[in-house]
Amino acid sequence: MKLQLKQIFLRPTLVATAAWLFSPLAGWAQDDKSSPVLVPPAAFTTNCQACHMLDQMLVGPSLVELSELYPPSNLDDFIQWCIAPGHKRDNLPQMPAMVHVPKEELKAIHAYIRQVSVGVEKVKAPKTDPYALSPGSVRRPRVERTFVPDSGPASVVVALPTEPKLNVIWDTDSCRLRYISQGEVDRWPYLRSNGNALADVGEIGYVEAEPIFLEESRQYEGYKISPQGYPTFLYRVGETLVMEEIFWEEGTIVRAIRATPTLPAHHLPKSAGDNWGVDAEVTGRALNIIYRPL
Amino acid sequence: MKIYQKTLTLGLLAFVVLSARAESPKFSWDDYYDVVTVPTPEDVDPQIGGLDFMPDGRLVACFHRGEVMLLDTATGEWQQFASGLHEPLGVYVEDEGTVLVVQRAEITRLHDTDGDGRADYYEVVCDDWGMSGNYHEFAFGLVKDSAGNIYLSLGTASGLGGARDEIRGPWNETGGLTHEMFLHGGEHGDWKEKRKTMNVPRMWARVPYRGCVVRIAPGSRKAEVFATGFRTPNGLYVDADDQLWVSDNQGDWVGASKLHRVEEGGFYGHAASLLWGDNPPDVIPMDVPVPELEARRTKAAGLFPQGDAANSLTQIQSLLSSFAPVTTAVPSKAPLVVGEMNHSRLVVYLPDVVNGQQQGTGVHLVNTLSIGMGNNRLRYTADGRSLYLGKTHLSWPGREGLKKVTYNGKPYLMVESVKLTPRGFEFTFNAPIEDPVGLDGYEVESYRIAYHVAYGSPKNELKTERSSRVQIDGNVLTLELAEKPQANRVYDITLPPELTSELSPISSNRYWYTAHEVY
Repeated sequence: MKLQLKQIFLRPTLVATAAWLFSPLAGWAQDDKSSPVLVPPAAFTTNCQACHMLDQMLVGPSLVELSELYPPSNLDDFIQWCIAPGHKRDNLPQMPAMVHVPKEELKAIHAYIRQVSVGVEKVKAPKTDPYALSPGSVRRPRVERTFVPDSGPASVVVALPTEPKLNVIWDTDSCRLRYISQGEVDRWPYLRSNGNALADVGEIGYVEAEPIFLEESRQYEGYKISPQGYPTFLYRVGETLVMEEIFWEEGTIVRAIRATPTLPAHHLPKSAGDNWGVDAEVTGRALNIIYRPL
Repeated sequence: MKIYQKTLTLGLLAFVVLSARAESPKFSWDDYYDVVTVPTPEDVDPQIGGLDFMPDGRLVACFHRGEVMLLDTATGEWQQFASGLHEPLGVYVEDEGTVLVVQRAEITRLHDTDGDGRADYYEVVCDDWGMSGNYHEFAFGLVKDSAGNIYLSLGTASGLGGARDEIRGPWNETGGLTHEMFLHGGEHGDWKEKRKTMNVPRMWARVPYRGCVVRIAPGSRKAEVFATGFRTPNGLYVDADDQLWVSDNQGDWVGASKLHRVEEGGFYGHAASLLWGDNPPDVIPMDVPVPELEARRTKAAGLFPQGDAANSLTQIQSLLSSFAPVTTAVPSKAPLVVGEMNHSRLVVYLPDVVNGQQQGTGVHLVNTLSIGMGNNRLRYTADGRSLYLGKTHLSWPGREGLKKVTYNGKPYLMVESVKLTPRGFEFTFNAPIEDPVGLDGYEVESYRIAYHVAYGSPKNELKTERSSRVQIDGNVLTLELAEKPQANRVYDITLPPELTSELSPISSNRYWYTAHEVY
């Protein structure tokens, strides 16, 4: 968005708009150089301007686009939309109802949109993530939370320092590893839709069919981060405190699980088909599970 | 960065706001407030969800994509303290120097156990609320009272999106609205098409405790429902008397953005969250007859008509005498100052109580382009002379980044209180005033704001009021109307911009008084 705003505000047409807005009278007026300028109705500046730029999408469509959608013959449709907006575009929020704006003022807004758009071309704003390559988006290992597919809404993504890129999806609600995916984690679908779409976590490879621990009473307590950036999840299974570290070592994903005072009742994960080898070893109150991409 | 500041300035010019009515022409906020853009860290999406200060004076800010950053305000250097959080919308530094942060799924306490300057332990403080996976289920906060109780508000879900297969917490099926009906995406199909066939509320609260303010006792992980009836309550504040205030955004059941004085057990108007309070309805909450809801609800302490007074109120603070020339010495009796998203200004609330009903007045403060829109979070500096303003927009109107607004201490003319009288209104200024205009300079309109399931409200029963008498006695201005004030109306009062004093011309001359009760 920062990049978009830079581009918007550098455009000469918008600078001209700024000049119009400083004119004290509504309607056509004269600026210092005695050339005619168009001043928006007060109801426009109060209710519309925050979302609608002249020539490109901001929160809502540009005035140029609105002018095309609502020629004078569609004035009634314009007023009706303002009073009771629908939701046509999934990538945009629904406009709040302008029910508090009298119809006469809506007509004036419509006229202004028509007038100010004459001769102005639409500008397409970029739709890519301006932070796609920032360290926070690509650093590995890293731990981040977002809405992901096939797991609960309170899940954690552990992006591992591997090539190809592997990710562990861990659900804090059920306190369990859900699956391992391959690919860069892309939160942009989530962010640009304001959370209405899920992040892309790549292709799901290994899926853990059921929790390791049989006890259903589990409470998530948080996680610790090692100096290398790996997480150790803390949770309780019944009354037992469990620490589960996840890291990458010698070509394998390691889950090092330690329980206090004793390892709760559990079963070991089953074989995971042709693409993943899974080994597990119990030593006292420790359980190590190793996931090996084949 | 210079380029960015320059472009931002141009942007601000493009967003100048002209009022329909005359603002004070001789008064300039820029003569009293210095506004500085504080550069935000490189490579961090500069949308700010929370601000506070560490005991050593560093500013703590949490950002949209999950970073918690520390700013050395002397050097301007940022340092990352934590990352990976889920849309944090509040940060609170505890006495011990630990940092609480509110993210979608939980309140998290960030510990730096090894002293290297970065959090290494993300401890759950409370995750005792539901998540349907709907995009609009924000978690706002947090504040503490003097007993250490934490208060948090939970946004309702939006009917513009459905629920996910996997949710956290039980689904409430009251009125026959099952979880399955709300599923969308993948095999469940497109939500927009699906909802056409369903009786889906505009905003809904089907998992705990959406639309509620919850309280978490010290040492407890349990969230107790403290109050119900909120829609998008993006501002909480506990004043010096331990009184909780909460702001809410215009929408369904919310005819205008508003400010609430919140008491335990109260219902504040938005129907959806009644499912989580005492005596929940056995029908879809929006189908409860409005008279029944009216009987249950506590009305807003102040209504801020959309576009005119405010759009989408945000964080609340007391208006300190170090930040504005208010003469009120007791912080808990002082006016409140609130951020808003769509305009380059702050909003002040001047309280009044009539027949036991909390009500009051809205008025603009620092109404200058230089502060910009999107003022989501407000945090005073230790000396109270400056407010840091953290900005955001998500996919709505707003802006990005951080501003520091500093009052230069020069007194200016402002209204400190507005009280209803049997015949009109009594304005108390912070200095003796002169009115060179007289009765013709006063404009008053009044109207009703609807309480209904529809979005927002027209100005119902709009009428122009005739002023019958104005009297000035020192710093008190009494305005009488030809027709005495009526209950359940908002009075939009424009004082003459020519009102002046030895301090300055009047700073803000338009006031919105919410008159639930009258004498």
